[in-house]
Amino acid sequence: MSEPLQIHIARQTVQLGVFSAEEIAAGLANGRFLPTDLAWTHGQAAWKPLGEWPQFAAAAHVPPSPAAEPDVASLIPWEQGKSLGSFFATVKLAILSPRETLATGRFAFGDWLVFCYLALALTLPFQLFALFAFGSRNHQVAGLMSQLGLAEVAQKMLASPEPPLWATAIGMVIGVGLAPLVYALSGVFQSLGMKLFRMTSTLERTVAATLLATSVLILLAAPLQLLGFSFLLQMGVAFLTFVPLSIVYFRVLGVATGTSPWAQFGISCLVFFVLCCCCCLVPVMLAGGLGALAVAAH
Amino acid sequence: MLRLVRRPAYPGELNHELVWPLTFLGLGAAGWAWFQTGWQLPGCLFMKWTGWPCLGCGGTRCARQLASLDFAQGFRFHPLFALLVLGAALWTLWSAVWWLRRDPLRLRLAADEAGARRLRRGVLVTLVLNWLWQCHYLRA
Repeated sequence: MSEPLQIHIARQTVQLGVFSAEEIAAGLANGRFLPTDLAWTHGQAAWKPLGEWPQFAAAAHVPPSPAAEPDVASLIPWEQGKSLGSFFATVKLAILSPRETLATGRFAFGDWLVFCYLALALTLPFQLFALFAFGSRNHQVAGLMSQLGLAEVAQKMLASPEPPLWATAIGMVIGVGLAPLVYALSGVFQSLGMKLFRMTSTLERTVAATLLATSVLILLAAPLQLLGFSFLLQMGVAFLTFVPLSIVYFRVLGVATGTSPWAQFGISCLVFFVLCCCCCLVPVMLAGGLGALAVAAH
Repeated sequence: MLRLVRRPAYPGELNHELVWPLTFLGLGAAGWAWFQTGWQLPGCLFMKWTGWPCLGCGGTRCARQLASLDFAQGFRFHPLFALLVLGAALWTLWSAVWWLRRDPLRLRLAADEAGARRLRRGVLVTLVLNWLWQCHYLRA
């Protein structure tokens, strides 16, 4: 017996799934699918709009029901045009009023990869300034590690030879090249976490939303580098801004993926736990807390 | 149903054959450079406080072993991480072949509702099995 025809459907930049011919015919009639949705099945060289498939021609001419998703244009400035002005307008909207704008976004990966590189390029001067003005902070980090009962790690840190500043600077620039790809990979893990809980946002959208949310986060956190003259002050302020920055991050991620920010927070915690990030994040938070206490004591 | 299909990309589709190999190669190079410095990550606080491994425990040791090409020991430290690295290496290799052949068809995982359900269960079972192994091996 031959297998039923399996047809892949995509709308704009998002794959909707694999469906049978009967499901698609019914979907066209009830507005689940649009005649402009792209479709592909085994043996075809390219994707074709459903309206051009002979077997769906009749169903495709039925006027769409109100249940059909309206094709709303994106209200995100960055998706309307790429410029420094639209970049900062997008950052401002993401922080102050994400609900009104981000839900309308297309979230194509390429758009937000460029956005993330631009955000990193803007933060690079802060990092380089901190590096050349304040130098390496390994001794201060090692001191805090010792206070946290991680003396063995601190000793190993201090025993390692210090790389020259120029090597660190080159490493930083290479890191800027790699960072958006790593953020994108974290978006894949976030998407897997969402799928475990049956959330419907697509991989592309979740990855792009992660790039946007992370870009906003690193832009907001970049000025912390200017506090490098006092490591404790820097850690203290980082600790105090952790909660507001997290609110901004998860609100952006939630709105952009059409889910609750709390759900995104929970999934991130799960992903952090699975990836063992908590082992680095918790000492940083404790170090930040110690820094805040030390600053308060002064 | 869960199956691998070869199909053309739809307009605007994420270029998985470009983005992820670049990411894996970059992460591999960064990881290798990190191991050359001799710097250490702090030990697992979850393990220290509870006596039980967290799901990531053994991951760095696994990466260290893989970087020194001791695959068997790497697998013992964290089977899931070793399998993920193997998957990443295979995808990078496949992508390289795909680019060289200039193939219009791309390899994709297609899942209907039942397949997605099976995949979810598979991921959960794998995480649990991996953790049971970590409990057995890392606490010994």
